Amino acid sequence: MDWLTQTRDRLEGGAISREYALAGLEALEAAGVDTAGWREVLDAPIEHRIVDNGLARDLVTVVAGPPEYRAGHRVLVILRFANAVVCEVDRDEEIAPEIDDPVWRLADDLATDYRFAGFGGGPDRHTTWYSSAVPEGARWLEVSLDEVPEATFRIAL
Amino acid sequence: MAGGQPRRGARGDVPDRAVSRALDHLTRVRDDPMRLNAAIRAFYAAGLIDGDEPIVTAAFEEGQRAAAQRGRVERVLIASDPVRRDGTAVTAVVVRADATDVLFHHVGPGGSTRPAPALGDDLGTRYAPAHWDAVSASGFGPVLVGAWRYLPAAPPDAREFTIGRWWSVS
Repeated sequence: MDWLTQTRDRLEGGAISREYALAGLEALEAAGVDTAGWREVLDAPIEHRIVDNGLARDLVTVVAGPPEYRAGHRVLVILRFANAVVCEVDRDEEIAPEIDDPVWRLADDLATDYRFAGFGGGPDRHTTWYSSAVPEGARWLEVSLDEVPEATFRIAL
Repeated sequence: MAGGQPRRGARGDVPDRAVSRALDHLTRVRDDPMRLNAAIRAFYAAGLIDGDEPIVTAAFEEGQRAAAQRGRVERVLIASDPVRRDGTAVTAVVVRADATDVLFHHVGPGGSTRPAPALGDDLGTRYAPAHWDAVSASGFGPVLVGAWRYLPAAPPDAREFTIGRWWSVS
């Protein structure tokens, strides 16, 4: 796939900004590449092909995790959305065991079913998405790592 | 041009002059990380450069260093009432042993190519982005949760942080 097709594709997929795309075009122009008509392609209105299921758009509040590491993990924040929860965990690579597909679970005192929606981040940051909101009246959340029971955190709401 | 023949570029079909111009451009934009990154990607795609160019290697290593230089988390300051501007809300400042992270939530296109805004604090500490865009990111459709990283680590007495023109966390 050539650069123009790839860049337009990334624009429509929401992976890059137009500013970034135009910076690449500017570079190619500076190198003397024939880019006739390319600016028009990049400037054309974008029909985003982003799959938008509405998850985690409306941020309700941010909750801090406990100020401590357990088994090399520390809950940084819990993002509460109108229809989702995102839990961000820091991982100390020197202490935390290496796990291929860590499974972080979320629970509360109302026995809410927090459905797993996705996982991302990287080796030093675990970001887990759940497609359920924290219900009104919940008093605490518990975040736990299946593979490492010591990495369990209770967070008052 | 050696032997009067056009030099074959990284992918075999570009002349020497274009390669020289590409390298000149990288030198010109080397202090603007977003433009540098976009140029490197474009030149790769066009076969103008390869990974052996020192400026490309340096940019790659800078990114690696930024991700690695962090240290353990010392404290987390939460945005109690997150403000959203241009789709982005800062959610927290994470003070680490060796760096300072700003966590954000973004709704809209642009992916992780979101240049790190300026960071300041109530002590007047001068922070510089460790990397031009997010050092970590996790997304779902148009929604992105990520972190920008800055150097140095925030001083222990820093209590209020300003991020870009719109956001503050204390």
